[in-house]
Amino acid sequence: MARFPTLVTGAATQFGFERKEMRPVAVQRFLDGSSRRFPVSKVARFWKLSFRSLNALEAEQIESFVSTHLESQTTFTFMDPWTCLEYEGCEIVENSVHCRAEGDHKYALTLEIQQRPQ
Amino acid sequence: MLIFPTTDKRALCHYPLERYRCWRLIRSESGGGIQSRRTGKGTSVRWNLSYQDLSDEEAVKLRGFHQECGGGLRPFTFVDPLANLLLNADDPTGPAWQVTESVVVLSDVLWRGCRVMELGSPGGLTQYIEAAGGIPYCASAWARSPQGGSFSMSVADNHRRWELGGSWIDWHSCCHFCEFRISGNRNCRIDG
Repeated sequence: MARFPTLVTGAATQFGFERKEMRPVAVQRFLDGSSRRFPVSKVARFWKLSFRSLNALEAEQIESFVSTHLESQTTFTFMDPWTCLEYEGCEIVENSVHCRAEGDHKYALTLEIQQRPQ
Repeated sequence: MLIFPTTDKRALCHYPLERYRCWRLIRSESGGGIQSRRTGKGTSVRWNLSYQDLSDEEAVKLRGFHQECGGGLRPFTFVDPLANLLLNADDPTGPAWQVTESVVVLSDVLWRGCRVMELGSPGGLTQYIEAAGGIPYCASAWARSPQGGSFSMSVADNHRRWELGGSWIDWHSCCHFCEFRISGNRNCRIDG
C-alpha cells in the first residue's frame, strides 16, 4: 500500500496539525429510562495537516500524491505524527487541494486525511 | 488560440499565487449506512494571480489581453507557473528520462537525489516534451560535482539546438536557470 510522502527533512508533517479520533456509539434507550451503549464501528481518525515553507519539489510531491489517490480512490498508509503509528486505509477527505506560493521555498498546503472506519 | 501574456521580465505572474485543483467526487450512502465514493470525470484547476508594481506597459498589456479575450468569453493558453515542465525532475531514474549507455544513474540516499556517472565516453540524460509552440518556457537544473566535473544543459527541437550557458565546476555554483522558446513544431528535447 502506498505511503503518504515525507518531506525533504524526513518529517511526515509539520507542527500545526490537528488530530481527531471518533468512536461511533449507538445508544438504545429503554422505557424505564435506562440505556445501553455499544460501538457501531471501529475508531475513525482524522488529521488536518498544514504545510508551510515547502520547496517546489515537496509541494509537487504532495499534490501529485493527492491527485493520484483522488483519481483512483485507493487508500494509503499514513503515519500518525502524534503517536508515530502507521494506519492503513486512509484517504483524502476533500475533493480539492489548495497550493499557495509566496516565493521560492515558500509553498503552503493544507489538507485533511481520514482513516476509513473499518 | 490566444496566449496569456508575460511581464517585461518574462514572468507569468508575481508572488503570491494560488492554485486550486478540484476533482469531482461522488459520495453515496446506502440504507445500511455504508458510505462509498468515487471520482467523476473532470478535474478543474483555478489560479488566483496577483500583480504588484507593474509598469504602465505591463498593465496595458494585461488589460489589452483581457479585452482581446472578451473577458471570460474566449479561451486561451495558460502555462501553469506552479507546474514543472520536466517529468521526473527529481528522479533521473524515472521513466521520462532517456539515459545514454555510457551513463549510470544511481540513487543517492544521503543527498536525497541521484548521482550521474559517465563511464568513459560523454553521455547524458534526455527528455522529450510535447509543448505548444510560440510560448516562452523556463527550465532549471540543480547539479553539483565533488570532483571538479562539469555539467551542461541544452534544448533542441527538430531544427535547432541551444546550449544553455556554460559549465559549473564546484559544489557551490550548482544552479542554472534558463529560458527558451519553442518555435513552430510541438516537439522539444532537453539534454543535460
